[in-house]
Amino acid sequence: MTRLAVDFGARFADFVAWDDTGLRIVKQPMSGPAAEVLAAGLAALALDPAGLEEIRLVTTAPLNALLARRPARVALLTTRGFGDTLQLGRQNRVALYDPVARSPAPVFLVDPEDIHEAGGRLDARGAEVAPLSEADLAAAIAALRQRRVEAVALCFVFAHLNPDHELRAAEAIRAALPGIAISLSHRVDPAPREYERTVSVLLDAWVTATSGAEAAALDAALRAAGFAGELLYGDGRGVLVPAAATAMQHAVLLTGAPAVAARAAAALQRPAVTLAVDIGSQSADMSMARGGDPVAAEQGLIAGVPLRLPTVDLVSVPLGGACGLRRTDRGLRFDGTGAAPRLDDALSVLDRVPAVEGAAARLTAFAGAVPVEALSREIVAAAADLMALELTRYATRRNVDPTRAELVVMGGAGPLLAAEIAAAMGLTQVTLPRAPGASGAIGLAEAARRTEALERIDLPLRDLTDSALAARLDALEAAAPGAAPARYSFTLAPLRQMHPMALGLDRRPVSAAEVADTFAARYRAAYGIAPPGPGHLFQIAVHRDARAALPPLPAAAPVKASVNRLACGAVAAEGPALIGTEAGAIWLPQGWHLETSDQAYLLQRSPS
Amino acid sequence: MTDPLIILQLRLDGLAETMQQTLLRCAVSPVVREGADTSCALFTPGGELLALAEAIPLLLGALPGAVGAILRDYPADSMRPGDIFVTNDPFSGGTHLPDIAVVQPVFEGDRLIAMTASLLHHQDIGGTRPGSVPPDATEIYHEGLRLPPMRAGQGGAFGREFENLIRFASRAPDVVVGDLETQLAAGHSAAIGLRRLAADFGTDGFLAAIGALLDRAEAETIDQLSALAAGPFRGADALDPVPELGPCAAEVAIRFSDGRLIADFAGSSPQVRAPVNCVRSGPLSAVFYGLLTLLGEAALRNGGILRRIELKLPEASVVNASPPAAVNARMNMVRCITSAVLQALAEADGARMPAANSGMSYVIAFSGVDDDGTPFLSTEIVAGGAGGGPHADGAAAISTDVGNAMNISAESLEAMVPMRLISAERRRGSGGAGRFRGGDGARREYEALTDGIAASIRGERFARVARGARGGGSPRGSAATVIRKGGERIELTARSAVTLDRGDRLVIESSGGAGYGTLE
Repeated sequence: MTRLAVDFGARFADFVAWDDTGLRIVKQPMSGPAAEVLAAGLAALALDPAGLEEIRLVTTAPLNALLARRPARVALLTTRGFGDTLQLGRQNRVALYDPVARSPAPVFLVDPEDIHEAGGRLDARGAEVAPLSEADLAAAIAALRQRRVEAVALCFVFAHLNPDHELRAAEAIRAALPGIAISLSHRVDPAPREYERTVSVLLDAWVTATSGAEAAALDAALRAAGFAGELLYGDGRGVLVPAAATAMQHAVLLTGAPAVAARAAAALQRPAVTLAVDIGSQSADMSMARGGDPVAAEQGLIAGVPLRLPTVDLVSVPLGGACGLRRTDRGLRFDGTGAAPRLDDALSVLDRVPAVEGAAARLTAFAGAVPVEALSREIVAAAADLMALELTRYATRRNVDPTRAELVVMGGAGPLLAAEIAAAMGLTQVTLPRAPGASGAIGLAEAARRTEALERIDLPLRDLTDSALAARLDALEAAAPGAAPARYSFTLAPLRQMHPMALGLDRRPVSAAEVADTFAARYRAAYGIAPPGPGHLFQIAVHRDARAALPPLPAAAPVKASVNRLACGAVAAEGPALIGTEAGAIWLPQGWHLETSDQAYLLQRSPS
Repeated sequence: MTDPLIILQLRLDGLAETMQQTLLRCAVSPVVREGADTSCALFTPGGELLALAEAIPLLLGALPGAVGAILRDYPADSMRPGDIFVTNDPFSGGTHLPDIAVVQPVFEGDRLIAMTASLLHHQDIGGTRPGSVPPDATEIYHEGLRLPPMRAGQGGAFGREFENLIRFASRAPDVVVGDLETQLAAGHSAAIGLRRLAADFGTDGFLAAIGALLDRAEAETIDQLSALAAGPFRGADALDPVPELGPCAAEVAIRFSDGRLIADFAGSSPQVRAPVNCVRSGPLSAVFYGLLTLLGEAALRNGGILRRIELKLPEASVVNASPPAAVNARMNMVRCITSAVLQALAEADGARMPAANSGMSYVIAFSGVDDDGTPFLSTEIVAGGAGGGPHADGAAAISTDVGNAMNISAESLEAMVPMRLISAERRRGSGGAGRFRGGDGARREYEALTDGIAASIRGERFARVARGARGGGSPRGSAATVIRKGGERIELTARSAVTLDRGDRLVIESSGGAGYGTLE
């Protein structure tokens, strides 16, 4: 049976199909709705949807929309007195030494006119203090109808302890407005602090509003075409989850595409820390890997928006082939709009990508007296320098020396800049995975299918008996069936009021004391001190990751390419040359040479 | 980009930030865990600032002073691996007594290669009122336990005598000891990274590189300051008048000479018998912050910049108090000094400067015993609005200039203290009018859920508000009101202590920022 992985980007969709006979890659332009592009890709691969066992999907659409701050028809319903929670944020600011104080709060997620308050209150134990106001709810529903809202986020104070008010409001909204998408804070992010939970649930609604219709159309088109297999999505952790699971939490899809690309870089299993960047047309997504797995985080800052969900430790910056230029007092930046020239324009002038319509005119208008080719070199150098700076910042913020890490560059635009980025970082080599222009789809094909179950608890660890622990683990293991070995995750804090941390265990603990001892040992290893309390348990989770090996790519046969025909001429090992690969091209500058292996291309600075 | 000194500074900044994140993640007390009232830095063996976390600029000036004071009493060659030094003495480089500095030397082999330092606002360090920020203090002896520079531990752990000293003095001993341990954890994480750096460079190479890093920052500062007009540029601001107290004004004249910034605070008011005085770390924080805004994003933020700052401070003044002055409510004086410094710098290089911000923050502490007999204590910081302009309206209720504390959510507050946050809103219309409006202040309304809750409130800008810029208007002043369960309204003053009983409400309103430009 054949399986298919599809990575929908801003300009291309990358298809990887595999079965016992081997693996094939196709790139398809994003020339229309995703369903049409999928059909075209299937045709190019001569695949019948009815014959597919499984389809795996990721899309960069919501992340690109987030980077572009694209408005969506989203509303927020919250507790009376807390309608300003999003705008007030946490009172901190983004740039300490900028005299103009700017809040990091993502206020663009919802129009202030679409924020509604409802009376009703829960207390700090989740008990109802005042009932949900039916009159306020009716007024909010009328406003949702009048403003033609597509998705509504509900976040009531203390809903993570008692979902009753959110569930009752959702029921009323659903009854009055059957087509509207509803995101509930207690499901999306069931943790305290109303600002963070408001951002999480708004992001969930916003992803639904920007991408939900297209995902539904895709699903419907596949089913209509006879697809009867399983539809899986890559989520922000870089694992596969069923489409039904993502319907509960849309925000997890936001970083699915960069997360699976990070997994492709991690799969290279380099001995050193891997510092990876996937540069596409709209964004550059940075990640790190150790020991074959991407480094994970319990929360992230995605395109400047705090996301309190487990995710690969990603940072996305606006730098890609289709990003517009802007000249600032600190040099060129890639967040321009309108008629601004793009990085791709410069790459086309330098013959690294095919001619781009209107490139010369845009560059001439931007260049002034500077010759277009000189400007193009300046633009490419600025992109490499900026990427090097961002990678250095990303690494040093994580206590990693970027000059001792192994740099991996991927994506459509990345391999065209890889050597220059490495040079700007003071590195003499950079690794590109095979088919570097389809690394997201390859990572998606390599990703594990996750089965998981969790139970939320609010209990001092010393009150958890061994028999109660065993019963809970038995139930969770049964709820997450599979042949793969179970792994266990305990969310704990030393004291109830402290920030919780995740404790991962590869084998089942036999007692609560073992959990407590392991937590104390890990805490001591991380921080050099004993935890200041005996431990408070918030959650137990069990998951199993099922992973099947991909068939190998055919032996590497990189060929010297021209920008219009990526498969001509002889193998070129010395720069300057444009090298064609299974997916995407690599720019090999003068003074660099290329080596190939089963897994990767290695660009090295030649000895002088 | 390949410049190894820039990469080294980024790596050192990353280590300082790792310390900061460790403190925020592992802190026991809410004012740190939720409010982020803490700061971390790395120092050279000679006590010069090496790297700063992105923390609260208000604390920028405190750690260099505290490290300097420790080195005066404990020279570097007397330090041993595992030593732990502390101080909270405002008159030995500190700020106010709740802020305890923990300094740890970092050795590679037997060579001292750096020091880690953190400053953390502790929940209670004794004194006349819970929280150790008594609004009615007139001498430092009312404010709590005063720790001179001292060796508080060896072998990587606090000594039993020191721990007992804290436990006997504090109303929240477990919380304070827990947070002190967290400060050790922060130092631990940075020390690992520093030793790795020293291994990468070789110890001699590392010490030479950090010396070169500071020299580079100094040279770049000289270049930038030499391009500015000499001045003097003047600024002034004052706290709300209190009849029985006398004036509390800060005046500054800033000159640029030989690549130095010279800030002369002559004319500032004598110190007063109230806790609003600040010590040298206050004006140093304000001037360092102002200079960093002037130098821009690319500056190497280390002690090389500090070498180019010269402060002239009148003795026994509100900007440079002498013992036994009370200093616990110093924050609004530092904001006042910062306002004066920014006015002066706007004269020197004003194109990027907005109108004045609110110039205030509230510090509010709730304490008491809940219905189960469990004592509680929580501190929070509430900001005012940002100034409008130069290109947009000011942000509402946001930490500005030397502040960067975070607010406390209803869900965190109510889990700790028997109070209900009824609302947390923008105080609409409180920002100054103008082409670009000043940001609004905040309005928070609380309800007491038990009897006998002691509320300590320290605010500012109740009477004297920020002035608009270029024709912009002034904001509304701050206000604080108690509404008793029976309906009686009590208007509070800027520094108040009040007891709340079940059903009483407290309404806190912070001042907005000033407007910028004339309305068209």
